[in-house]
Formats: sequence, structure tokens, C-alpha cells
Amino acid sequence: MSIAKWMIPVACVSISLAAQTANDLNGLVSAASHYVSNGMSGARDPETLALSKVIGNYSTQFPDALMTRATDVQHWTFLYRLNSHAPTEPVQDPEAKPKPHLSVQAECTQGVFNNFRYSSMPITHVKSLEYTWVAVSLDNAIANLNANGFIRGFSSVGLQRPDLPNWPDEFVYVFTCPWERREVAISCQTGAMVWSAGY
Amino acid sequence: MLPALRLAPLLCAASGLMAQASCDLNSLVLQASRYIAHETAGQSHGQELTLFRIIGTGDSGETPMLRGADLQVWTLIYQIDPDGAPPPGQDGPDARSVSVQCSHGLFNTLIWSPLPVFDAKSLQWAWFALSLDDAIARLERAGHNRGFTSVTLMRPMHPRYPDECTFIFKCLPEHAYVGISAQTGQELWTEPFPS
Repeated sequence: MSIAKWMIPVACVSISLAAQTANDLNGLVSAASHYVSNGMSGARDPETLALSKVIGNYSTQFPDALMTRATDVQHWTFLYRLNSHAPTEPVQDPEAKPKPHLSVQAECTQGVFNNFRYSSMPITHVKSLEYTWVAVSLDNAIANLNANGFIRGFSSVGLQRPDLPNWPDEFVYVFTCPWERREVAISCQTGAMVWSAGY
Repeated sequence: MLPALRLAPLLCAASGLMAQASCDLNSLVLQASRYIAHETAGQSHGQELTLFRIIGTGDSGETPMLRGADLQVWTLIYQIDPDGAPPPGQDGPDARSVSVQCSHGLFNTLIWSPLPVFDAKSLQWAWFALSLDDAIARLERAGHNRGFTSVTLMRPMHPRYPDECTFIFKCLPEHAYVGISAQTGQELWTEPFPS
């Protein structure tokens, strides 16, 4: 009896925390925006930065670990395209031309934002996610992934709007499913499977 | 047996919490604010915009919808502070409201209008405890289980209706509007709509 009494409040806390954090990707994107703004010395100009891709996996140590539910995703990477006014990359050789910064990256590892850095790599094949809203929670998207037969787990999940001629312009979760060797896109708005492609 | 009995309500509570994050309308409002701030940046008319009404519709018009994710277009309607200076340029001197859309998850289309919002109270500092899917479950429990063609979130300003944040579902098969509290999930009222 006494053990049961202790267990109940503990179970309540763990359930509610898991539910609030794992599914709230809109809140995660807002918090990332706040962190990146801080990383750019608070001078964030919406015309300068555009969120282009969000990628979730288990951890940096085990990037290919299989996951089956939203709380398994412990590591998030946010890629922003830099449009202008970006500082250039420092170079050792004084005669070499400094490379312009073309993107910014931030990570969120186990709920803590870190690793803000500039890059000279451009982000291609995706459209901006800057002013978007995710209607389908990650757990619901995983349920729909399972309903389409992909039940053996995924090694990463990306949020993106593909910018390729053969792909529809739809805001999607892209799950990488290593067992089936397929990438599966689930709509962020309806939860429907939009496409799947072998890799 | 006893611990198992006690766990049952906990599991129910857990599923309720999971549902809250699905189709989270509180974050829709926050994202809309960000988009409006971006779209109106540089327009120095200093307008105060107050959210009055949120309307969600599907893609297919009259086809009844059954779940939150079926709603593909959200329109958020803001009243312009009547004491503020009129917005310049394209907005026209008489703009009294502005709407913004979120279609398929992408914000777009900020439209100024000379029409004021007159039948609703402010939602500016509001929070919706029930997710849309929870509200739909309550709608079905109240007997309206054949779908709805649109849902409106508002605080009606009319003596007949209680001053409460309400999901108003338009149920075509029953030819009725149904008000579900955005805080408690209770069915507040049902009104037939004119044919």
C-alpha cells in the first residue's frame, strides 16, 4: 500500500514532463530561435536568417540508434540559412579570400541548447520553415508511420519542406527507416504519408 | 489489485496530456504573432492588433471533418486599436481589422479590412486548455458525431451566450452550431443555423 502511494505522484510527474516536451516542436523551434538570436549577439534580423531544416536523432555518440517514440529523440540540430550581413569566416592565409558564412547551426542535446556555430556550407534543396506551425505531434506522426507498416524504428527524423522537382511542397516529417532502407515523409499537417523513397 | 485500480486514472490523464500537444492552438497563436511582427516590421504606424477570433477550415469546403489535423487553413482575425493612427499606404485609411492565414502549416496572406470585429470579445490574453482533438471528442460525446465543416474560437459578445472562450463547431448534418468550452470541454450551447 505505502509503495503504491509513493509511486502515484512520481508517475504523474514523469508522464506530464515527457508529454509536454517530446511533442511540442513549435515550442522547440521558438526556443531555438531565441538561442540563435542570442548567439548572434541579439541582433537577429528576420531577413538575415531563415530556419531551413530541423533534424532529430538519439545522440551524437550513437547517431544511428533506432528510436520508436518521440521521447527517444534526445538530440536536435537546427540549420538556418544566412541571407546577408553575415560575418565572414576567418582564414589563416592573409592572401586567401575570406569565405562568407552561408549558414548557422545550433543543437539541443537533452533539452539544453549548445554548439552555436557559423558555416560556409550552403543549405540546399529545402525551402524556408521560418513562419510555419506543426499541427501533428511527433508521437502522432510516429503512430502514422507505424500504421503505414514502418514499425521497426527510425534512426533520424527531419522537419523540412523539400525543394526538389519530384517532391510535393509540403511541410513534412522525414523519417529515416534503416530496416526498410527508406525515407518516409509524413505530413506535419494531416499525418498522412506523403511519399517514401529508397536510399 | 489496488495499485492497478489506481493506475487506471493515471493512464487516462497521460493520454489527455499527449493529446494537448497535438494541434496545439496556443502555439498557433504565438507563431501568428511572430509572423505579423515580421510582416508589419518597418511600418511605423504603431498599430495595436488585438486577436478576436480564430477560424479553422478544411480544404474541401463542405466535406465534414472529424479530427484536428483535418483543418488545413487557419484564419486569425485581429481588431486594430481604434485609438491608434490609421495604417498608411496599401492598408487604406479605414482599416479596422486584419487577418492572417496559416495554410498547410505555412503562414501567409496578411489582409487589411475596413470591417471591424463586432460580435466577439478579445482573445488577446487567452489560453486554451483543451486541444482541438479533445474538443472534438467532447463534441462527439454530446451526440454530434457526423463531423463539422468549420470551427471558430471566440468569446461571443451576445447576451444569449456565456462569456467564455469557446470552440464553435459548425455541424452541417445536424444543421447546428455547437459551443464547447475551451477550458472545461463542456457543451455550452447548441443553436440551429438558418438554411
